[in-house]
Amino acid sequence: MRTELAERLLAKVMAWTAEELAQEMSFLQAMAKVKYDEYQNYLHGMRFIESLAVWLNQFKNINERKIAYEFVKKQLIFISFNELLHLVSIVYKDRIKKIILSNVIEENNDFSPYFYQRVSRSKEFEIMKRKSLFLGLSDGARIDYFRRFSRELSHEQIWPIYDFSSKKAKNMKKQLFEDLRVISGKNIEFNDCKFKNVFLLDDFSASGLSYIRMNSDGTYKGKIYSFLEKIYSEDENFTELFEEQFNLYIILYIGTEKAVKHIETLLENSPFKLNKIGVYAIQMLTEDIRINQDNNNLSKLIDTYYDQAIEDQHTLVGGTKNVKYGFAGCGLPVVLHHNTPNNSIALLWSYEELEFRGLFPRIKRH
Amino acid sequence: MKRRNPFKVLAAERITESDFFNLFEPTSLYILQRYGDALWDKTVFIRSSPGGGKTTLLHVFTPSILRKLYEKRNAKEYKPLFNVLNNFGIIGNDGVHLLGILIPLKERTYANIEDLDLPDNKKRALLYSLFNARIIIRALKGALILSGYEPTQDFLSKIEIKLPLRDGERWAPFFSSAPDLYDWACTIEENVYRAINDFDIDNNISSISSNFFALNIVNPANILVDGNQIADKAVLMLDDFHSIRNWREKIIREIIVSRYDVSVWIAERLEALKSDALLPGDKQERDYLTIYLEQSWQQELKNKYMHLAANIANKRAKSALYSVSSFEECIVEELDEKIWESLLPKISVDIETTYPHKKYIKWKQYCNNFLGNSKEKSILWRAMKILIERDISKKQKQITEFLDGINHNVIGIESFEKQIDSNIKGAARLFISNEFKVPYYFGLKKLILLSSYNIEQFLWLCSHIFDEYIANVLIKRNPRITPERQQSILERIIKMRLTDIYRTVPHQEFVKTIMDNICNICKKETYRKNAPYAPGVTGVAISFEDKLKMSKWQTIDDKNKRITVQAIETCIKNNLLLPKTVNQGKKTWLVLYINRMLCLVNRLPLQYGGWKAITLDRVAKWVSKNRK
Repeated sequence: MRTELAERLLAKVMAWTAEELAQEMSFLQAMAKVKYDEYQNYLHGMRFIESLAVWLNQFKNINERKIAYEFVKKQLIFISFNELLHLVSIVYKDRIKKIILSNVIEENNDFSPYFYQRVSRSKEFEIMKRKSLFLGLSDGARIDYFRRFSRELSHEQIWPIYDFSSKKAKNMKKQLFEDLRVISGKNIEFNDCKFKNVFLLDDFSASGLSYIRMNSDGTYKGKIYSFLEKIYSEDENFTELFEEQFNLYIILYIGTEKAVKHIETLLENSPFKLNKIGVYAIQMLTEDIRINQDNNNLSKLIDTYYDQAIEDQHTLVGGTKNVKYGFAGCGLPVVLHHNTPNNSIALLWSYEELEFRGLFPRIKRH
Repeated sequence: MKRRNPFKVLAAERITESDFFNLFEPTSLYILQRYGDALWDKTVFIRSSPGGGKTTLLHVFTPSILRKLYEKRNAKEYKPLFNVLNNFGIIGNDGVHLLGILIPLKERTYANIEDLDLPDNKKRALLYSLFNARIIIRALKGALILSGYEPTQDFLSKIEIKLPLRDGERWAPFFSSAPDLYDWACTIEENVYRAINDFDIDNNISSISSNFFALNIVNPANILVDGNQIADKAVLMLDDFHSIRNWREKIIREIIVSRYDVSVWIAERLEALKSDALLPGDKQERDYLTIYLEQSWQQELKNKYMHLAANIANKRAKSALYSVSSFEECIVEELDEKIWESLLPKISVDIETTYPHKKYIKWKQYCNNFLGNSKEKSILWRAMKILIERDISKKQKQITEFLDGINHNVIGIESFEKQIDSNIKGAARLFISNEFKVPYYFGLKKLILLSSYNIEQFLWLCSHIFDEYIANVLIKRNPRITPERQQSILERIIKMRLTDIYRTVPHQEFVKTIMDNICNICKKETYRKNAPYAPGVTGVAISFEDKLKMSKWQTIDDKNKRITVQAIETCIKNNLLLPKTVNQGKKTWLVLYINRMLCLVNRLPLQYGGWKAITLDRVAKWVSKNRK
């Protein structure tokens, strides 16, 4: 019954004829079923059609609603749970394994880069693989699924959080030693058993600022920076766990070109002496999807229906005066099934309790 | 479960069990029922274009459906299906008598095996291993379901396998129990997946099997649950068999030659077939039976199909969120009488002025005095115009005509009444709609005809009509869709669909060229003033000799001829052309009727009947022009 009311409201606010309603509802119902209804931050009983009807009803006239609707139809990017899971399922085989194979080939003159299969069957590969550590940068990294999809990896080399204790580090080292001894089939020195590759995984980044950023006073902040600080601290359990110059790889399931570039640049210029640095987005969001300020029609709506109450001390970190175009002015039209990133335009994620309610209202993370 | 638009529930594989019983129409089983025991004694091929209803038919014979049907056999809504299947001899008040083992082959695994870089014998070993493993797993689960148990490993111990000892026959490991057999099959399946996904594939394959030995194990006589034989017969149903491209013929040969204890039904799309096999009609040979669904409905079971489609539409409409008691309630079946009242004088005046001759005065009086409504009178007048044109075009003239070109002899009513028939009236109705822009394609009957005997096509057409019905309900307008809107909706969606079809089929441009040219011929012949092929031409025909030429052209050096045949085959495989053999006098023709959707786009009638003879060489010329 509620769906019927929502559809009626939608027809009314959009002034659709029966013909238009039939065609548009066909499309909307299909999209809602496949993706949009799974958004986790709707209020109870709310679904996409209802949310869309209420959202469009906030715009003052039919022209504005048509612009807003066109945006939803043509530009919105919604990453569903299944799509994210797909990315998690392919990340090891399609990206990580190739990195490890390349490293093995580089270190061993006997191996040709054209014979991946041979390399993958080699003891050197098994050793390099075991000397790789996989850490989650947030719960979005879906380490539980990553572990299941990456059966070639040992559970001992996967950990859900990047910020782990000294005691844990010590245990990791112990386990690494035992496993390498078995793999190599010979006696090895305990102190030689160190991680060569570190893979930090996360689901999404649009600006990269939460991972690493430089403050105005030249100091650094961010998750990756905190992690590296710990590694290079005086705690022996950490310093002995990793090679002096290890390879650091940041793997984002979804990332923008901006984020990848930012993280790469800052890592390269950071005070830490890393061997190799790699930042990868399995699903890259290219610059052309961004909503620019020169998009006249939509920009007017973004300006008109902006509630300043959306801002807080965290949003200011992005370096922009406001978050009309999202945190750090990213201007994304992106929604993730579990929450809308604040890098997206405010029209999409504006909080439930504000005067203008977003189409996919966000839950504050901070 | 109530759905917003139940006409959109299309893929048979994804329909839940309760939906299945709500939506399935038992009449559709008639297409199999008429073959009686041949269904169990021979290998059966069930073929159609996509959406023809193959998978739905197979699902009826699966254990979960049959068991549920047995349990609910006395309930009103289940009785019709129960009775039909009772006539098949596979279910009764004493239980289910058939173990159906359905193996869908659409899954990528089988195609992945074909794509592996391995010698043929190893690929074959993998393929057959997977088949055998799955047959066993599904048979065991099916046995539990038929016996009323959950199909889980907990109950496997209820099954006893009594394998016959055959001298000289080598079985895979000798199984002492159903759980062992099940575990063995699961292990085989896992090993096959591992072999496919591994880099190091070669070492993982052992030659486990090279035939369907599992069919001998799952003979119902060998399977007991709680001491009772689970069924009298079993059938292995291989769905989407066209997915196994390279192994298709070898497997078919092996199945037919081996004469397993279990019946085998193979459902596949026409795209898997070569042109000989595409051409009509159902074939019953000594060892196999071939059923072409669309062709069967069209050629032998037309009325049953009309009835079937109407029932399906009504069932779906009833199960909708915005339910109606029948689909006919969603649509207006007739044009407003006022439209006919306004047309009638226009038609009659036009004829009076165009044919003022005294010769036809009695005919005109007849039409004037005819006691009928405006629609009937309008059609009669327009039919008269066709007959006048026929008369004019007659070669034999009266001597007076040579003087002033007019035949002054008044023609009697008898001649009019003799010639006026449903075909002429059909043509007249079509001409009226074309000349006066009056809707023609509306109503349930026309909707069914537009489906070209493909159930999915029918449901798809209905879904769009129903969408607008829902929209009308929502905005509180009169919900019944008018004839004008029906035609407008159908025209829009059909044009979109045809664009999609032409975009995705092989030999796109040649397929479109052939179809466009055929449609042009149909239009030209249909709209002749004297309607010689009333109600109209909706197909072309090639001679028997040309039909034989098609086989030769498949392998000929001449590229143009090869492409021509391939393009025609593509048209048939995608239901753009429906083939039918027609005998006319001493000559046999292969008639290719166009898909009825094309009839709408080209303003042609929907009846099957009129066709125009063409030669294969002419078709080749069209293709050749397009290639330049």
